[in-house]
Amino acid sequence: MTIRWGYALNQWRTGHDHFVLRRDHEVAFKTVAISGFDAVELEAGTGRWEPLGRKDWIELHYGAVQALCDMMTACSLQGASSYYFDPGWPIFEEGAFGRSPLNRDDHAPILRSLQRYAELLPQLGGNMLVARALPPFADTKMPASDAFQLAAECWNKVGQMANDHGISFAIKLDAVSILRSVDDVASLLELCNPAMVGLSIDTADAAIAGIDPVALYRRLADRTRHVQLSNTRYVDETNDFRLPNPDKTMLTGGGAREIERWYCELGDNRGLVDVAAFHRELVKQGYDGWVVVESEQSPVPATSTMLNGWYVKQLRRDPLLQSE
Amino acid sequence: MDTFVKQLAVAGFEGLGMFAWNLMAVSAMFGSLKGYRDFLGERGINQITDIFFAMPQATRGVAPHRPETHDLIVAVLENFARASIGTDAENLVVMPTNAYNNMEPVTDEKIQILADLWNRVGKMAKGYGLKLGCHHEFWGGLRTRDQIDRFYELTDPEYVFLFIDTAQHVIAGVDPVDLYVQYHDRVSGFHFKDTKHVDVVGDYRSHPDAELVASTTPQWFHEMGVPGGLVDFPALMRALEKHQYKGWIGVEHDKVDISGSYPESTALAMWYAKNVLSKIYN
Repeated sequence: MTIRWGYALNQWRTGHDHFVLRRDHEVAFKTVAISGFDAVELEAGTGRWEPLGRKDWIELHYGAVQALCDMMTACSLQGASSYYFDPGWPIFEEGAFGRSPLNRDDHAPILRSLQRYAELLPQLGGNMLVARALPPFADTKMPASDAFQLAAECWNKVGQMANDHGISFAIKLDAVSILRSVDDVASLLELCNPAMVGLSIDTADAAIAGIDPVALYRRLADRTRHVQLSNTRYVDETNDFRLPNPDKTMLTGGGAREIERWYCELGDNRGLVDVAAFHRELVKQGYDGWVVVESEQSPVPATSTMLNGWYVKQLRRDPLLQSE
Repeated sequence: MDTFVKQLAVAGFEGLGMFAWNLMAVSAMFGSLKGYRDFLGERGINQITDIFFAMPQATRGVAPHRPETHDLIVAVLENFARASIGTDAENLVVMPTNAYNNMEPVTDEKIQILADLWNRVGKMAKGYGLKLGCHHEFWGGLRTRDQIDRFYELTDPEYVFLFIDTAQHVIAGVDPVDLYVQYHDRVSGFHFKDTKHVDVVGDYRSHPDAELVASTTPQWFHEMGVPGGLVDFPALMRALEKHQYKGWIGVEHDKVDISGSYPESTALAMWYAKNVLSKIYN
């Protein structure tokens, strides 16, 4: 059992045109490293706004993928732990303006897109590909059982492809899909090939969706291949996840309660996720994989990283774990 | 405070320096100095390393180059030395003069007066278990190498020590490595920070505050390791190794929030210390 600790770079991406310079990347890498993390999680992205989002843009900014790799290792990181991919995001280079695993015609293009990341990841030292499991609630215009069937069909193909490349693959539960319970998540996973498709648990998103992340992991530990360890102060009590484009209207825009920031740091006094209990459960169940700490919407990325690093340090010294 | 201390601790810092006038404030906030130290210890910071005091502006009551103010300065500093009991601080760090523009011209006579004062204060501080370290700002009255050399000739090595701020010396055109080599047996500590500028236009005389309104740059200071930084930290570490320096190295990045952020600079500075400097001398 080995927990490997990574950190998600998405907190530095506060908008278009931010976090583009290589110097900005270097600062982030060093901040992540000095805070005790071994690797960074990257997000797939498109165009000039996402210099780390695709192989071609990495090459444009760094000259070669190896140069980015060299930069990470020079900053005392092992490399990239993982890539996160949302098929609903536009990919200008592919003429795609939002695909969905619920559209069978999109399955082949989604597979081709993800194949590029499966090929790229090992060059960056990574071994984990994570995809958003389902589109938002408002874009799921079919019964859940049909949605699960279609999505599983898509992800099984992707899982097979990833496996062929020696890459682990997981689908991520988020706060705004039709997955609203442990049973929902389990139902989707039952349709996915357990050898090829794992679960990525985002603890904050689970809590926002009203799902206890500890209970979720207990039930699906054998399927969990990736964790985004994060925290939140809020449960979506007003069902904002039903809003159209909830990534903007709810998570960025605040939703009905005009919440300025849904996410918070792991040790936040008002955080709802029992991070210590979740970590204990990971250890107890022998979790072997990346735990990527995430602090989306951070107002001060360096502070969030260091506070999360401090908290992780305490987790690793958890006296309840030492006594077991 | 909680956020601040945790950030220092996770980056790998073990102690922190503080302004003398904050001793009373933290005692009030935490019930006592012990309460503050417990708070720090629970988060991984185990020592208050030094207490810093400065008096940039000359006033009728406080002007180190005027002997009639010395009794009051000694009394004020003894009050802080007394207040620091229980901190385990090792250094009482002072700016030994007012701003240059508040005491010019700097003459040998004035340097003698300054030496007389700090010999008194150093002796007093020693009685409280503190080393008196003099911290030379680029805009202070003892800024050139000649002025610094004269001052340490006139002060007692038993009572008066040199506290080297790397960036301040470089801005003033003084090589901190050479300074350390010469005074290594009198150096009581460091502020490691960097700068991208040397003052070649007399900014040290800027009114009212040379650190804030100078013509060369709105931001004199940067965290160590910054691209374009002028301080040769690796050379300094080699010198520390040669003379087997044992003591605290403080990291400072005063006013970096003008163009960056303190948390980011904290992370970058400690990354540099761990990944570059500690490989030279640890």
